[in-house]
Amino acid sequence: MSSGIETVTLTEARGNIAPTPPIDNAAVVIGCASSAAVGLYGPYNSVTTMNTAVGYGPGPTAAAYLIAEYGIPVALYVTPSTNAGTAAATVTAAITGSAGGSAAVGGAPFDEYNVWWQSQGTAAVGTAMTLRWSLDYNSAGTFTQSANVNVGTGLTYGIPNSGVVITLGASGQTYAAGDYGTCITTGPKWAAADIDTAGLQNGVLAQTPYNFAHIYLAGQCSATEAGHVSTMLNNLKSAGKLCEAVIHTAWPLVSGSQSEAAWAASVAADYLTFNDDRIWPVEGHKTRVIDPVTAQQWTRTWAYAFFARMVASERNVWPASPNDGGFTDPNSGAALVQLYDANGNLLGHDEGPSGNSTGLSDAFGLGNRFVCIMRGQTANTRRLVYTTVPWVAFTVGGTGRIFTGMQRRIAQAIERAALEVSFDVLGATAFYVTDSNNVSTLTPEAQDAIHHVIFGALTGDTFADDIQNSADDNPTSGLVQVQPVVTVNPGNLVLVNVILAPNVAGKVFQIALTYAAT
Amino acid sequence: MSFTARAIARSGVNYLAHFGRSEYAFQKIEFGDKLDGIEFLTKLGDQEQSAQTRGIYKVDDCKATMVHAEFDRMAVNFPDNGLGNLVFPITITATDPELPKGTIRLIDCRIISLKLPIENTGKAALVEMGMNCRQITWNGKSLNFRRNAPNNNASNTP
Repeated sequence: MSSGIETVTLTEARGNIAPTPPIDNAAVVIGCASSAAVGLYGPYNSVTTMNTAVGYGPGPTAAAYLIAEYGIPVALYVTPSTNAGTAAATVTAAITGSAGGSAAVGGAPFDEYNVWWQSQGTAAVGTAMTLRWSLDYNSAGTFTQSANVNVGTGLTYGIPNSGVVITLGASGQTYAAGDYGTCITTGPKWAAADIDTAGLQNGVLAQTPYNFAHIYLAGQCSATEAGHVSTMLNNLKSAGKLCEAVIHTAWPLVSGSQSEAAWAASVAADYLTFNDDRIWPVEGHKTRVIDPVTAQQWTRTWAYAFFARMVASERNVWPASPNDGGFTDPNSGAALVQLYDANGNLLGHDEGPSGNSTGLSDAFGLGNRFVCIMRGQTANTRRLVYTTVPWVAFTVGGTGRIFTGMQRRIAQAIERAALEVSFDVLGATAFYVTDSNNVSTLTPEAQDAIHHVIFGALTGDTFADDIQNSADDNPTSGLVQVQPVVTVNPGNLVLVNVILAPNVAGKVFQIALTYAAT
Repeated sequence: MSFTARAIARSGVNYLAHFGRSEYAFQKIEFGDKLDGIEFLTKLGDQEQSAQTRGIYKVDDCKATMVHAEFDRMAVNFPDNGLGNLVFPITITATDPELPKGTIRLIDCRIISLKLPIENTGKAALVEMGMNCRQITWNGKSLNFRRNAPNNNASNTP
């Protein structure tokens, strides 16, 4: 008979494959990850489980933000790391010992890090050196540090889960107590061909039963690369998935210290002729983004924080607007994204009246249509960050009617609801008459019935906050307009053309759909 | 207009009913809506009814009867498990060679009762369905105020 105290180990069950969230909150993050083959993973509702499965990198970081900050499961499509992460050639070293000239940072970093390591006493490389390290170093000293690590006899040290390898120096070279080095790394990035693979019509994203509405592409994206995202969205639509995508532009060149104005002009010129109102281009200037999992202060784009907030918001809500509280935690009020670095200096791109260089969000002036951020305008709100108008990349001077992301989300939801009724509402027969000129016209009863089935899907509470004419059942000028003339194909497949004319935020959209009937 | 509406009375032969997108043969359909719970107020020292409240909009339970075989044909399109939980639209279309089309929409209906009286006579066995409904529009007009409904061409003259 055994004796002693029984021990019961309780573990968190949360973390297995998550249930699919409602379509308005269902998202896929596309990006590089350190230890997974190309493919679709999840959805996950546990960051730990996700990291165990796919590793680390820009993709998992963005997905983790959505899971940890807003509690929404998310799937991850892992791309190849075609362009591997690198460490800057220059290591800033405050090393007074003899290792100062030899210390270096290498490896294939999984993400953008501000690497720091510090000797915890007078030590010689290769002889039981003790150090601390960080991946979010800042000169104000408010970064997160590891516990003391005994490197033993090693001449190098690999920071866990980062791909970063520090060459401490040659054997026998010395560090004085408190000597440290720093280095900035870049993360891996996909190539345009990898986006094409992800977006194939017979690819895993198009064919997966996981139905999603939102895509975030982790990595700097040029207008040319955004064109590949457009192709992906077209293919997904052909496969029955209506999606929009959040991307972010390049950030300023490190080499040559590109000025904010020069960077903005470069980005604006790149995207000047890019039009796709399903894509929200976020300006890519680096900001201070607080990691909701580790509390690390990353100097990175805020695009994934914006994406997460958008996915977590109702479709008619302007994410991170002043009315939405800006980029603050909905519960604690803590700032999630900041335009000041740890020393209180302005960082990133303020598109508001206080900014140094504006115009990227000025859709009707320069023709640029980027989602940007700005600081609050009062002393009390100056450290808070809000989004400017959340533009999509609409056609400048064109005929497009969708200008903002909220309008796009609503239009997608309307189209999705209207298309779904063709499959799940009773019956499929469309009665029509064909005249002597071979023109086929729906009978009035059939036209009425089709109208009502689609109208029924869009009226009532579901879209009452989104569609200002959601109760307008006028068959010729209302929300749903079934065209009486139908196309009859061989085999009596009847194609019924329907125009949806929802009034969203004062603008009447026109969505043309075709239904097949017999 | 070239017709005189008051000279032509529609009858059952003018109406077709669709459940969802399918047309079914009904022997009889009854439906109706009302503004219920209206309160009239009378002032002290007065015998007249003066102000009244708007009331609450209600739709009466609808009734439909159809021959048993037609019901079976229709029921195929409903879920086996819980057919009463399916929400669907009913469209009543009135047509006549000399009158404009009339459309009555019963929005968001459910079947809430089924009854089949069988007797050993020459009478047809008819399934009696009870249905509820969220809203009725009569050629686009409704008894109640509806959010996001247009008020185009409104005329206060009956």
